[in-house]
Amino acid sequence: MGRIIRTAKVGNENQNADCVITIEPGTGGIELDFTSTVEIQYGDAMKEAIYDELSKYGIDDARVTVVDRGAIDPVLRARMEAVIKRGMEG
Amino acid sequence: MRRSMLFIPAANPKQVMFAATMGADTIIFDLEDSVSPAEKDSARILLRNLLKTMDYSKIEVCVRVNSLDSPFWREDLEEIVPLAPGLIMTPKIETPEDVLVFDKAISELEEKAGLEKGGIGLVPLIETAKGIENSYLAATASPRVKAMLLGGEDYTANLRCKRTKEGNEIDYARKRIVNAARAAGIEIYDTPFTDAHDDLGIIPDAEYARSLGFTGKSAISPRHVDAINAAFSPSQAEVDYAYDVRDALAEGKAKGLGVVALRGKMIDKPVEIRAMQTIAIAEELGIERSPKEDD
Amino acid sequence: MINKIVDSIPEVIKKAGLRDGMTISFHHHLRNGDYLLNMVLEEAAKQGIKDLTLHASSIFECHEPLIEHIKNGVVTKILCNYMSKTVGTAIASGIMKEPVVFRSHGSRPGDICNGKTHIDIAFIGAPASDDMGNCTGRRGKTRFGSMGYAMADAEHADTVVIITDNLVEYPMPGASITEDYVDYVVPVESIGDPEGIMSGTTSITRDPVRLRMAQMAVRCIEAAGLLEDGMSFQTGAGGATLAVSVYLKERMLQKGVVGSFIVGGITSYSVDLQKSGCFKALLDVQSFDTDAAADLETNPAHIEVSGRRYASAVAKSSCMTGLDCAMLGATEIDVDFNVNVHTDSTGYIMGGSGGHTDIAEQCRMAVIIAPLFRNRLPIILDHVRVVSTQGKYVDVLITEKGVAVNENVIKENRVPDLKQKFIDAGIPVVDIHELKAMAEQICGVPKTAPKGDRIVAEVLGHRGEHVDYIYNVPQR
Repeated sequence: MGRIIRTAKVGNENQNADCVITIEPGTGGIELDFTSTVEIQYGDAMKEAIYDELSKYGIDDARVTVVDRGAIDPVLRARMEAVIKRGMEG
Repeated sequence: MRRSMLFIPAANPKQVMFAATMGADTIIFDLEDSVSPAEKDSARILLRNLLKTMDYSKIEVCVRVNSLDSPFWREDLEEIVPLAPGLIMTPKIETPEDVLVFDKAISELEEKAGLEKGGIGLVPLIETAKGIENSYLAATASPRVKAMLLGGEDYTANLRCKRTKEGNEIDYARKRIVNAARAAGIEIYDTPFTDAHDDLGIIPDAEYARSLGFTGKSAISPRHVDAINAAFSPSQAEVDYAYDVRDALAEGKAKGLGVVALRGKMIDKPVEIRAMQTIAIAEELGIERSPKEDD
Repeated sequence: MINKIVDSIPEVIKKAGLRDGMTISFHHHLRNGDYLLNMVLEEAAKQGIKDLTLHASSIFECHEPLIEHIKNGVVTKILCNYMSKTVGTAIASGIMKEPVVFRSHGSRPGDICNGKTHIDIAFIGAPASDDMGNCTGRRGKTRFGSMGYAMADAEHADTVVIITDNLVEYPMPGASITEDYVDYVVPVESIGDPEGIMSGTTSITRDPVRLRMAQMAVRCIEAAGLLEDGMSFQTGAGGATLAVSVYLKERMLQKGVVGSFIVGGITSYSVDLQKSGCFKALLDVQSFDTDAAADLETNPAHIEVSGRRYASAVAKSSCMTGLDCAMLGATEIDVDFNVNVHTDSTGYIMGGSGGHTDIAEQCRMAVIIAPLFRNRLPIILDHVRVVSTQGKYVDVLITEKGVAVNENVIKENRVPDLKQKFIDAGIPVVDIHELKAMAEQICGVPKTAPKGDRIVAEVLGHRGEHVDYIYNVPQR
């Protein structure tokens, strides 16, 4: 079971085809704040990828903020993986 | 066929995604200088994900990992080796031992990943005075070494002189490293032309590098790729001459001649070898022989 | 002695007899710096006038106050060729009862001239005018260059009002619109914000992907056999299309080709091509930057043309008649090569045909330049959301991953065997379905944004024919 013990942030600000993700220790459960320039077209698929990455590391308690500007799936997942790994570090 | 090697910062998703459309023969995805220490982890993960999913089949993939004096190189290799890139570029190589450290780490990771051992080529980046002096030894340290790249920026800093557009300060290094690489039987690539906004200065710089014997040249700006490809591609006249040499040789052989001449000049072994190299490159690039004009 | 000078906008509105239900027209050479449209509508609103039809060649961001005039019933109908995002978003969300009618830069003057659209009062902004209304866009502090789009309005409106911030002595030489059409001349402090009107020099993209596509475009022109003496050329001012000029110049000089003319919105790059001997003339309906506007004033080979001469299908001939090739953009294109330049992928209006559809239909080779996807949104779809330009007129799509050739083009003057010519020249020809699949492989298949059931706009084609409807975007 993974645990987010500190606030971490990954991604280039204001850059197209990227997203900025912040993760913080949660207050019981996953809280997701998601905004995207392609929310209508890809919002569901992206949220699914976010939850999938969290579950890979057994994270079930975290606040996640995603500000997306059109990141494709491997980019979004890379950002999630990096931010989770940082958040889990002491 | 490598003429141009373009550096792309691995931390920039957009640039990594579009790398294959830049016209470069090889892309060097960079985990070293273009990535800040705080982003080494995220860049590595990003690059791994994109190399796994995007189509780079039309280019040669090279990854520049961090140097041995950094705390990052081993993790870089752990992430990148399982993806079996064609080449890994190793910075700040000064001795054959440096090569062997990378060689050993890569071999272990290849084995762990179930890859054919030795499949990944090494491109030592030579960018210090000591590295230049030892470049032949580095080139011959392992069969994994397929090419070397001259890094002019760090090298001139090491020489304690100014890096200029004319490049007199790197002239010795250029000639020395070409000789070392050819002596070792590997390819050799020139340092980038660093003024990204100068689209014209690149042309004489690339042509000069070719005249010294470099196989090709690296670039930090996509706008320099075309000039590099042009400088390192044989001209139409060179291609036509090479085919003429081949024809003359074939004709001479058919006639049983011991010595063959073309346009009054004897075709000796070096001329023949160069012609065959030119034809091979022309075929790869799709440069056809000009149609023969009828009298 | 007639006195055409009227002191203010409120006064000229009264004098010209503006009343409920009339049609008023504007031209868009002042672009995003235009003060005219807002000044006139504000005064009309103050005077309690309702139900106006706004017949503007284009509507820009600076025209945001229009939204209030629509809501208040001052403007109840809009005819235009282009509408930028802010007003476009309001229209698509359904603030207007009557659908907007989108024409093209060619069909607008055509329909004005043949009486399909009647103009009661035309308001024309002039950076220089004399007191009888001989005016031009080529001089003065708010100089914008060509006055092409205003000419049909001047010739056919019942009443013509020139609004100027630079009154010069009669008779002004070299007028673009002459006194015989003009009823009133209104001197004002300023007709526009020079910042918004144009930039000094249009700057070219540095995006390497766009530059690659621009280079490919030049290869396509050459492979099609069009890079020959006498060639004519049209390009837009955006992204990759503008960059084509730079590579075209390089190649034309290399080959020693001298073209005939460049037509369209003229930029400093077009001027440079003409000055370096690549083309003999520039046909200018709209000058995009100050360098182009300045050149129009001094260069006899830089010719100001009316919107009708530029691209009208009902003119006896137009600049489009002999056009060889054109570089065009797209926000969406479908597998039948239909192009959308009216809305974004969620359905909000953010553009319009401008000359897109005129050019595509008339020229020998219409080239769309667009990347496979922008910020994860694939450009190639099964069906575009709105058809702005019909696929049967679009010859080629250039992407960063290959070039698709449309084999169902119906134009008589199209280049024969285009696909084979491209293949022979070593151009990477790829089926458009395959390009679409490549993008979807990278981005995933996008969900289609919901479409409302209310028509908010109609799109007309080059000949004024119905092409498509734009539906409202359902508001959440």
